[in-house]
Amino acid sequence: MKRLHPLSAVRQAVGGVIQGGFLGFFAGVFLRGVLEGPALPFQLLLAPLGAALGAGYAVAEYYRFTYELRDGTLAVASGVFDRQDREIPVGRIQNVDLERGVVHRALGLAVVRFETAGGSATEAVLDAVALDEARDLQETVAAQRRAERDREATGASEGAATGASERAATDVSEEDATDAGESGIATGTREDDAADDGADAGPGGARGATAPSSTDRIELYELSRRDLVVLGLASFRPGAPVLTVLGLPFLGDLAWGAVAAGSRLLGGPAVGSIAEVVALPPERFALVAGVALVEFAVATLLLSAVVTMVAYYDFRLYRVGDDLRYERGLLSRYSGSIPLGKVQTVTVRENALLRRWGYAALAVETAGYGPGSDDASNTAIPLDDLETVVEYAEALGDVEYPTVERPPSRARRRYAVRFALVPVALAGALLAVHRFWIAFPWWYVALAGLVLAPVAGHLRWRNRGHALVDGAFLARSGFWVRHTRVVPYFRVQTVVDERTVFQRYRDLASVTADTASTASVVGGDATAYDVDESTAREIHRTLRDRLAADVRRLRAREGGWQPRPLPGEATSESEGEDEDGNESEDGDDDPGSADGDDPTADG
Amino acid sequence: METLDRRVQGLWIGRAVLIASVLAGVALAVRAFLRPIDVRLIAGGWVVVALLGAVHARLLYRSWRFEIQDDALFLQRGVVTRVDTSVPYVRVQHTDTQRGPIERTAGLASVVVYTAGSRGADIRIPGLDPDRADDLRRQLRELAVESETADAV
Repeated sequence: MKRLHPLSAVRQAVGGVIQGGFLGFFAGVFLRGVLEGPALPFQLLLAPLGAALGAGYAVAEYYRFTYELRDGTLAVASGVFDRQDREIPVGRIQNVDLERGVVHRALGLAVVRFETAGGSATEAVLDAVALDEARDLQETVAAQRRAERDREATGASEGAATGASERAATDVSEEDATDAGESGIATGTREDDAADDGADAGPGGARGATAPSSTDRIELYELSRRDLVVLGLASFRPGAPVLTVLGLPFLGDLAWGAVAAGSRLLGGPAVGSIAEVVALPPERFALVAGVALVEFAVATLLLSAVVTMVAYYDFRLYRVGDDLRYERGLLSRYSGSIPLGKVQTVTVRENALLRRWGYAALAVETAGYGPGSDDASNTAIPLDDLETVVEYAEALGDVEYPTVERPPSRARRRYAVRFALVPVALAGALLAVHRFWIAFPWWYVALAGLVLAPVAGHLRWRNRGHALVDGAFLARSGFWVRHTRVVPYFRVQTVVDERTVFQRYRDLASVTADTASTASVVGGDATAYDVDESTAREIHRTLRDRLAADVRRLRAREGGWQPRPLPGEATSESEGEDEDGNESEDGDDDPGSADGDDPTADG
Repeated sequence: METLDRRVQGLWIGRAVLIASVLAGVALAVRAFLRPIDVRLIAGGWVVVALLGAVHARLLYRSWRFEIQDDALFLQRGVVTRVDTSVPYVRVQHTDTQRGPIERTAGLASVVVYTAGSRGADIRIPGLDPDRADDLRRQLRELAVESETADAV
């Protein structure tokens, strides 16, 4: 069983000293205030005691934390008083993610997170190990998973295909990308620029007699500087300024100062607090509100751009065997692995601004718990032109991207009505305020929003749709950020039809294909909204039938699910994987099909 | 298509009455400590809520249907929003029969089907006769095992 890197003990001990010290100090102050008696400087005694205890506990925690990756299982034992022994079968690990903050990078360490499908939190966290060890873990998990899959496929274990941790070959091959695509896709590059990451560049040890899957690290995609800036400028995180101001209290005064300055510039009053603002007459209130909104928008744009650019700096996407691996980040460096065999949903994300310029993003969801509210942990391609993103979606979802079928036009009327309710409700609320609380004679201005209702309804309708193709179900929705979700039939969990009273009145229904991907809890399901009732029944039926058929077919074939070659990979791979990727006996699209040949042993 | 046990209506009506009473209690407290509300208003409110709840319970009972089909468990239910759910047997992780204390006094049980889905993770069929619930759970388990696949995710 291995321990974490000793430096993490040091780091935790430092934290323990600080925490313990503070606790001791405050306890001392408290005691001094509470106890009548000699004014002993309790805090001077308790603070160092607390610090010592804190450090001691941290060191004890370090010594009691061990982990081991062996025999197809990750075993983690931890806890000083409360022992916890956890075993995770490698085949169940969905993602292995690395995080390297600024301090970690300086010390050559990394935090490793293992995620499985069962449970809402990360299953195992190693904070922190040496970077080489971290990369080794990523490779070993991938290799053991491959070995398991191959073992299941061939039904026999050849030599030492399992057993003690094996180093997967991380040979770097220089590949020419035959479809180089647009600016975003780099041609296959050598890994030497990753030297500062300390990644393995040397050839690994032998893997056993037959290695049916590629273990080369192939770079598929790289986010160029220009695209990074575009991504930053087009990102919109309203939470960013809010959180910043909340997090740094003195910024609140700065914000008020900015609002006051702006308002004074336009001849309005200088306000310093909410109370003053509420007391203003309507025109001045509108002025101050307007200034505040504009400044907020500007701050949001700037901060969003900065946050996004820092998060996606030097984004690269690789394929290593059956995993997609990404790396990103300026200050903190994140590296995650997305096992292709565990992909539940592939989503094409187009934000309203980028759409105009023909850009899109690709997100790949697995069943593992993904931290990061902006889906950064499952973003495979942050920005590229739509055609390339669609190519990837097709390869990953094993589907031909179709034209999407829009909801019937009566759905559009329904949306217009719903949007119209908002200004009406707002006007009503303001009217109530006017009558019962403070005078607000401008309540009816809210009704001006009614003009926007049909426009909003149309936009929403235009950006919704669904399609049923060979191999997958497609669902699209969203105006500000448009999501087109591709769910392979064999990933569907339950199928849900929903019809509210109003939908029933118009013979409409919404159909959802539920999957195991956690992101769908937060980000949204693959739902065909407001389709005709008969279409809904057809979708429901098709999803069920195709799920049954595809699962049966998957089980029947040898080798189970096989990954398809992705755009950006060379067509001539030494392992002899079929380039066309789409061959099948009965002419249908096999889910995730690539020909299941046993290729010759690799070089 | 099967329906739920009739007694579940009583359970739901009872729940509605309880909610009405709680709300009335809150209103009475407000009346005692904050501003005086007409008792008749509170009583009227209680009647309205209880009645609405009773009507909803009846309609919900009538809307509930479920069926064991060849490839999936199919459920239909809902008053305001009607929801139809198909749970394919290959996706069933495990099944529970549950009997909360109130359900037990009514002599009823629920069957809960768990899948790996994120939105429809637990599918619940309430208000069943306990024997039927056990039977159903066994049936589902056998169907799930039959359609066992290596990776339900």
